[in-house]
Amino acid sequence: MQNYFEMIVLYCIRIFNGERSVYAILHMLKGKKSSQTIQDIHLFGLTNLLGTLPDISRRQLEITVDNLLQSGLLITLPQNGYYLLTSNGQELLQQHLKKYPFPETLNGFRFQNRTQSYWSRLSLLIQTISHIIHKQNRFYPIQRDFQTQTWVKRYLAQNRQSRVEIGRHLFDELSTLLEKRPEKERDVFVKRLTGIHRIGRTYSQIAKELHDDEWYMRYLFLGTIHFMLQQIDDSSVQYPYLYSIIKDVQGNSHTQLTNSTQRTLKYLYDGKSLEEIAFIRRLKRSTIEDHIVELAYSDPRFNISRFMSPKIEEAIRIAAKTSRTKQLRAVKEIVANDEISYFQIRLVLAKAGDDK
Amino acid sequence: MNIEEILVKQFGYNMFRPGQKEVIESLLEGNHTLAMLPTGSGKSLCYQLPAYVLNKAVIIVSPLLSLMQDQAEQLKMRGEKSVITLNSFLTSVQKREAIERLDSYRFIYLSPEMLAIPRIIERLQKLEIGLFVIDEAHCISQWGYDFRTDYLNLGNIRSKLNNPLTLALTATATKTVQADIKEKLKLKKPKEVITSVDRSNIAYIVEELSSYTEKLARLKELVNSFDGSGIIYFSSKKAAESVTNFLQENGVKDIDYYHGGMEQEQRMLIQQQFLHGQLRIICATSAFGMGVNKNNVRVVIHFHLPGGMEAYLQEIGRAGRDGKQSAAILLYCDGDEGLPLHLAEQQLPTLYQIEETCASLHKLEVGIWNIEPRQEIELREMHALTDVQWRWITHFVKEFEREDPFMITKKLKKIANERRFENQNKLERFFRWVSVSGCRRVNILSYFDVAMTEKNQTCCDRCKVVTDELLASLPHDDLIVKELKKTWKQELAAILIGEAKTNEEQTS
Ligand SMILES: Nc1ncnc2c1ncn2[C@@H]1O[C@H](COP(=O)(O)OP(=O)(O)OP(=O)(O)O)[C@@H](O)[C@H]1O
Ligand SMILES: [Mg+2]
Ligand SMILES: [Zn+2]
Repeated sequence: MQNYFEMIVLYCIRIFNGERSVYAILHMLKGKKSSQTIQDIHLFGLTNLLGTLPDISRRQLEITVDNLLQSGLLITLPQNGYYLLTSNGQELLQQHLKKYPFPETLNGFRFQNRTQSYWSRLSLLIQTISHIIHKQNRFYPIQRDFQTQTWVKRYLAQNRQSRVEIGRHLFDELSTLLEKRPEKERDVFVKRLTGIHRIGRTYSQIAKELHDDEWYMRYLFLGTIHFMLQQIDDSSVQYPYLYSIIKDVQGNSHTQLTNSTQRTLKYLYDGKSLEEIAFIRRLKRSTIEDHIVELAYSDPRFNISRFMSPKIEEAIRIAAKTSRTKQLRAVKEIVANDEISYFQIRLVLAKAGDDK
Repeated sequence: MNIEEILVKQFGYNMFRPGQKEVIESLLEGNHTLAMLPTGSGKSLCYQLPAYVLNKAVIIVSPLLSLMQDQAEQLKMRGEKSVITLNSFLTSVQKREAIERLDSYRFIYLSPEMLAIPRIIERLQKLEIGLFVIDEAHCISQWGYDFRTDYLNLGNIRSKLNNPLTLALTATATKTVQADIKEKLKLKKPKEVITSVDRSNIAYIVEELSSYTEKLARLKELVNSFDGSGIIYFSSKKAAESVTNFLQENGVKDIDYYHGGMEQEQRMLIQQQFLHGQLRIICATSAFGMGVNKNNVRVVIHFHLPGGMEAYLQEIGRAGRDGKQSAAILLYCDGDEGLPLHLAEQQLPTLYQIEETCASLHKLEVGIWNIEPRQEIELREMHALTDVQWRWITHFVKEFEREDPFMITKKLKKIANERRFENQNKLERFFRWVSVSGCRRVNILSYFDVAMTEKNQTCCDRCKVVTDELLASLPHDDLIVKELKKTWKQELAAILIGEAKTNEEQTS
């Protein structure tokens, strides 16, 4: 394997197990907000990787898959053209995963919306504070995005505290959090920062310094960012300064929903039935079903009991446990009950995902 | 205050550079002005200074987003707060806010596509415009080296804005292009300030090598024979990356690559590392350069041939902006001329693509003005059109909208053929410069039809400049190599607490 990206693709292909095309991988890594992708990541357990490579292109993925095929790590399934790992592929993936595991803190599903704003704001704020406390008020901002620049300006205007103090607090909070991470992650994170005396390093420069893979550096970095966001979420009082950077960016699960699904949700709250919603919105029933399944995935408290009896739910649950694939058809064959719809199976699977 | 005082007070310079004063005076007398001053000679000052005399908004149209942002940041660095850049990357809320407050800005940078938006034109019509500036004005001409269809509407926009006082700026326009600029902008009898295109402090050198391997080896030698900053230009991203790796593996330090395929944030890091002297050498495609205002770039090397004389002058124009002796070195190897030809070819749609795309566009019910993004993607995929090719075709289809579809296709094909021919001409003309036996500087000047003003002793390889002696004699710049602190925590402290810590502890 040439790089960590190939490993990620290999990993996803193994997880999808010949049941999805490579474009499902593309959508997943780019963090596409569609019901299908949200379902997939839960069904297959890829919540960590969602939206972790927003800039990846179709072409990059295709080239990589091609390389993997050429190196005999993949085979093509004759019936649908999807891929499976060869035993070579399995073995290589196993080795690599052991050596370079994904940071356990990675959680694209929960944090993809906030990752970019958190980092751009934090890095620009740090650069700004670093210059001000060194009595330099002019510098080229490392983040060009107008929104980020406006945010930092506003933040400093509203926060009349001494800049030295802000700097010290940021230092304290960041180092407390970084202490909890492995050595390498701390290094990567700190090297990425820009301050008075130096400009931050690119991923490829860090990779060269640490004799590691560029893609892997990205994932270590994301691992750190997601860890910070999770800590900030869970104990905002402990990290008031970092919390204030991101508190206005919504990160709850509903913002993950597609717009259309949000509207369906509103009607559900109003007590409308599935058929009524389809009628009002002039959408196909199946579309509304997609929305509801998406809701089931996104919100752990979403109640599916209005769509089936407890008995049916139990039957599906048992069938799903016995089935070895994630294919709906397999589950349906096992429950062997014509009364039970695919929609109901999908809903139960959506909830079951959380039980693990 | 007179303009000399403003120069000192506002900009901190003691003297005008050649051409600057003429342009500024011409504008303050109320003349539309076309100015051609060499690269890096300070064209921006020609509109920035009058802003403080006119005390009305100055609008600057600039071809590239990154260029606009760089210039806006440079103004802000100088303490000018009243700057805005309006571009299509702003969110609609940001755009609305900015447009509402438009009259509160002294400098308004705009990309030309923003000027196609009716709401913006309406807003600008209500504004008192002190000066309307078209930067890189050669982009308006089909015969310029960097033709942008977006620029073609600027003439109409000027009329809509009631012909505000206008300044057209360029560093590289032949007589034909200058005439074209005046015509397209509808400038009647503007005052012209044409200094030279020549950069007297840059020595021109061409070295011919017999193979690619030799070229690489020579490049390695070259980068090791001077200690200042340098840019190496390549015509492909891949080459820029692989040569960087080669040089790094061969012990060249503080070198990295930059190209349009990189993510925005990573690109910004590289650019700033270079500006701050953290990187000594950048291997880049032509995406790097415009807007990068580093004064002490000593050497620009071309690993591949540029697209023509104008492109070459723009690219080497990054060198020696501090006025000190610098060098431009072109490495040539037999067969190199194929590559730029191929690249130029790709910019234009093929005749077949034109026919097919025009046919599809004709069938389109929504009409050429209302194509949805989804349809655009479909059409582009169907006819395998790059972004540039797509914009090229749609631009001309719009322009000839009233004509018969058959005639539209015919005209487009004709224009494409002319452009192809012109591209080839440009390359051939540049190639003649590569193999010219006389002075290279004289030859460049004759291309632009301007007279030699001052001649530097250190002129070109044809005037007996020896590369290695030249490189050894270039002014030295100490690179500030900043070692990282020992641990991540010390490093983090250096950034966020730093000197302040000790100061504070002393006072408390
Ligand atoms: N009168 C002056 N004295 C000293 N330095 C100057 C003067 N005018 C401009 N400069 C400096 O010259 C540099 C180049 O200026 P500028 O970017 O305006 O050049 P330009 O002609 O627009 O170049 P390009 O052709 O690359 O667009 C800047 O660093 C600027 O600050
Ligand atoms: Mg300029
Ligand atoms: Zn000469």
